Amino acid sequence: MTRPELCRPVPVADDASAAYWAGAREHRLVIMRCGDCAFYVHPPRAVCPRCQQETLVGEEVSGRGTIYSYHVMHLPGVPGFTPPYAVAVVELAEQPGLFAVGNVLDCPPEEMATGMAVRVTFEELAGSDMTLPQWSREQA
Amino acid sequence: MTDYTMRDKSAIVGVGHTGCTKDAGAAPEAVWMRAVREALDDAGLRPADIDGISTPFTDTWPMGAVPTPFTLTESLGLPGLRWHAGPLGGAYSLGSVASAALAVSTGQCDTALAVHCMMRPKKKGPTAYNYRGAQAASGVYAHLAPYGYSVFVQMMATVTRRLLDTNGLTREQLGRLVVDQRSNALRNPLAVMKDPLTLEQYLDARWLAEPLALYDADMPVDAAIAVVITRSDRARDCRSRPVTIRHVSTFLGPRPDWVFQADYAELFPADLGRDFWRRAEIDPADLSFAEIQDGFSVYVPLWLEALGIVKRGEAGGYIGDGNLALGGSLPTNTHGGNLSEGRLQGGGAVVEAVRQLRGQAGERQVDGATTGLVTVGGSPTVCAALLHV
Repeated sequence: MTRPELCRPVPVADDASAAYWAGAREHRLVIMRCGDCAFYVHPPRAVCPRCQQETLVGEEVSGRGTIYSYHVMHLPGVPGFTPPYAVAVVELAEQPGLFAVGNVLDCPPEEMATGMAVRVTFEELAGSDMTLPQWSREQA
Repeated sequence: MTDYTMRDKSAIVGVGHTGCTKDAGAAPEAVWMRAVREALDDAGLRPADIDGISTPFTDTWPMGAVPTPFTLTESLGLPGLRWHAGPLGGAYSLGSVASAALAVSTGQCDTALAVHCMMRPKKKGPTAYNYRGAQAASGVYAHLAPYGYSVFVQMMATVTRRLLDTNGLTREQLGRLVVDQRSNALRNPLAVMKDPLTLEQYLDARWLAEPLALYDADMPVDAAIAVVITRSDRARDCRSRPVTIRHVSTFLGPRPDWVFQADYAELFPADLGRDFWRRAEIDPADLSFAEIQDGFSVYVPLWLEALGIVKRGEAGGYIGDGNLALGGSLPTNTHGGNLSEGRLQGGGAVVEAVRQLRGQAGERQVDGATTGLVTVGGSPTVCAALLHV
């Protein structure tokens, strides 16, 4: 049988995402933003898709967002995860359609809801030097 | 009038379909050649009449059970080919027919064969999922797999959740679609599903990735289809009644994933529909039926809205009112679709459209069918075709 704690995939930083993952290690949510047209881009990439310039730089954002959508996974077999578990697509406060994926760590699957306000938190990924941006419910 | 060069210049003159089973008990080559022999016989043609081949992949060697132009050339004992290609718009089954239609319409070849074959994974267990996150997750998967998001059904579940919560769709409406398609499958001897399905059974089924449950996902099968496409001016010499290819369109979405796209209700953008009807010079109201690839139930409302058959936010109500059932205003997936006929990635839809237009659809025949839509695409690459007699 698989041992979930050993199998959870570890993200690999590349040239485009180095600032994002370095920020996460410092518990800062750093999103790529175009120095020319101010457009936020996530996942990180090398060129701004709005103005085609190599002007994306990491910028710390508020860490606030709302759940745009989510699902509750019930199938077994995803390494590192025991169903049921929820995965959220979070729309960041900075820009419509700017999405990040994560788990709302303090929210059981049955309490997930589209439109729920969340705030970034960070999870050290066991067995690696990577830190994952994650989410928790915004306190009312 | 704009000269759309391909318009009505090619026709489907032969179709073959093995039928869908849980285990064909034969090698992939045997399975796809059953469909090829049937299609050639249907057209009254011999292998030597084929001078073009298109398949879902164009690799030198077969991709699993899916044949390539090379493997088919070998299977048919041909000395070589004038033309070969992959699928237009990456849309496996219909895409292969569409690229053949373009080739035939523009003089690349005269008579082309398009083939698709699917075989169920014979190995059981987690590896059967299309799991994409390696132990080290890179590229876009670095932002998905560490969160347990790596199986395709999860993407479709997340899209469905958004549509349920903000786009006027309900699970009961999706259930109506699934149940209607199951009753169509019961009138289709090629379908793998032989038992009736009720809305209660649909709603009570186990979750795959909530809000998608067991009957929202297509049914893996062993099956193959083959389609013979020739020049319209030669089609009348063939044995069967030709079905004319009016137009084919493809669309490439803005991203290869269905996660980071800004508006989940427009995964197939509305531009696709406007462009398609204009170029096909047909009004969607004139359709006799539609065969819309349904790898998951939710593809159908997405397609209906993208093609402008209904307005955004209205697909759920349209489906719930029974418009897609046999006898409804737009009978859809009359063969049962991928959900109930079997997972042929739209291959069954192509064959069904041809049989409907020839009046060969038996108990599920749409009366007086003259114009049919076929769409294939369950990723941001899609293909649509308009066929008529």
